[in-house]
Amino acid sequence: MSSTAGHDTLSASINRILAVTGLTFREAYRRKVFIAALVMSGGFLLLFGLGLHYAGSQILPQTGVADELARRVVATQMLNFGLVPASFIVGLTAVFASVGSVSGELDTGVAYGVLSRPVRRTEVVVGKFLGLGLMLAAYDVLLVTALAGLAAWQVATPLRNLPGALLFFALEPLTLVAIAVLGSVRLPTLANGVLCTAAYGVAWVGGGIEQIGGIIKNPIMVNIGIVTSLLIPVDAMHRKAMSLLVPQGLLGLDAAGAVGMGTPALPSVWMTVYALAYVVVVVWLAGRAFMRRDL
Amino acid sequence: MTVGEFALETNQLTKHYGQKVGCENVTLSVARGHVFGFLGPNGAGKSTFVKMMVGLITPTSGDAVLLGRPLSDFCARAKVGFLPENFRYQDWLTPAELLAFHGRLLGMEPAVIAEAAPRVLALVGLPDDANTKIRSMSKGMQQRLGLANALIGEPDLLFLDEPTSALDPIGRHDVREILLHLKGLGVSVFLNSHLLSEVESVCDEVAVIDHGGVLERGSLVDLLAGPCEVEVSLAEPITEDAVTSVCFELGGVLRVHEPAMLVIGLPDDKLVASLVQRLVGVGARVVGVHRRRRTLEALFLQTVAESGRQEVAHV
Repeated sequence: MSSTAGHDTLSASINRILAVTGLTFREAYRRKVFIAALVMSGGFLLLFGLGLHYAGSQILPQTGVADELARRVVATQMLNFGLVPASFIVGLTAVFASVGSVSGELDTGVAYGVLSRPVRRTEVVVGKFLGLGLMLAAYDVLLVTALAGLAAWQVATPLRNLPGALLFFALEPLTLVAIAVLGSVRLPTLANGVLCTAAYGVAWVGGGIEQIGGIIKNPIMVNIGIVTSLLIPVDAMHRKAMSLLVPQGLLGLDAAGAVGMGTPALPSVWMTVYALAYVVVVVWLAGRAFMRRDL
Repeated sequence: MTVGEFALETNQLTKHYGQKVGCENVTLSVARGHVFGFLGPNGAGKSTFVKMMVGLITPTSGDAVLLGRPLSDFCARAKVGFLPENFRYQDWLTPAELLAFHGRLLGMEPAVIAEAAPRVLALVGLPDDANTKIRSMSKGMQQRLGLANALIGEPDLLFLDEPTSALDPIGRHDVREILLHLKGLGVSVFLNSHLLSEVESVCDEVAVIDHGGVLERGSLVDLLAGPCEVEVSLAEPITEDAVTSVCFELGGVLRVHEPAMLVIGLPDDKLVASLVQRLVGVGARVVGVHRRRRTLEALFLQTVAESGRQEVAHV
């Protein structure tokens, strides 16, 4: 047998990352995650479509400027009513799919065979993140596109910048997957699940506090929301996405009556840059923490 | 340390978990093409040592060289195979898919994997199971698959942690044959096993570890050499005086004297031929000779017991 050991190159490293990513896709397929997501999303879209259909049959025949404004507001709110639960579905799916991504394989012993190969642990972490993150981001994009399409078709919801909005919607699951993978390299699966689910809830509550603070002009509440967004920028990305998806003002008009669903306090460009850097740094931290762990 | 002569060399390798000792100053080497047995009671530090060798645990101190590369260089594991003690694989894969994944991690080309996978599956006795779901395979079959997986990259050094724990006697025999086959190909094998008969039948060298430290190491031949008992079958009786005189000349002791059988204790197993020659010289009609060697089990039990006594004495 040969006695020459290999030398590492960037392409070899990328190949190993893609091998782990591919295996993550395959696992989701084999474990019927795709089918489950398809069936449940189909039911969700059907119900949402029915609601839109009956709402559309009532509001679309209205005429006049005031009626048109009311129609646009209602149509936008209808879309928002679909996007909020959709965001929860995707967010929680991202958390549940990722909390055991590393710890689960350590518990079962599957990881030992993989990590004894000439592979960097950071490559395994990045491969897992890419596999889970891309799947969840694609799922989010498809779900939001379907919801926006249904709303535009049934109640003529005005859409401003769907592609731009989709990029920010996709950042939500990517952020959650990154956080869950980081927890997974250090914590047991159950503890990580509790932590990530709570963190997701905190992000939404923080976002809600910031919105109310913006409406009633309370800087302390706004700052609480900003700090929350810095810790977990999920809700901030959701609000940014919503601001791109529908014309400004249509959601904000109703925000005081629907906490957590409006977009009066919009994240800045720097918040967007921060969110992107956040994902990269969290994945890097996950790789670093995993490298230092004795298995 | 001479690079190239040894597949594995460690120097004062130590792993502490806080106050607890995993391994303590382990210095050993495995020559290329040799099968090395690593023995020790449960919790002795065997798995800790192997986990350090395959990159799952970082040593606290000391250093090691794998196939001429420092342990910290993950590329050193490019030609290393590993079968963990608690082997588990993605049970939703097939063996072919598992081997393809690991082959890719090793940087093997798809065509090379396609050629190697059926070969290693056939070697471990799973030639027709390439497309069987792993979850439907028995534990013994999965252990065979684990061995195939360890072999997919044509390793020069193989770490096997209890490789026959889930196998029946036929499976154990097959694994022994595979190890001897690999040895013939020049592969170095580091074998962790509780099955001393298995170690005795395939290993060139052994080390005994307990409480994290190496207690005894050396070639199996040297370690098992020394005092022995010889059972001599006779066609007809011989006088006790004649046998006693022979024993006296060789420094041995007559233990059993029966009409058709003698049992003689000798100070060195190299004296067996002289014993037979001298017995024939005094008129014995020898029809059979059986040397009762010191067994690895006896060596192991003695070494660990002495270590335990020393621990107690220190306390």
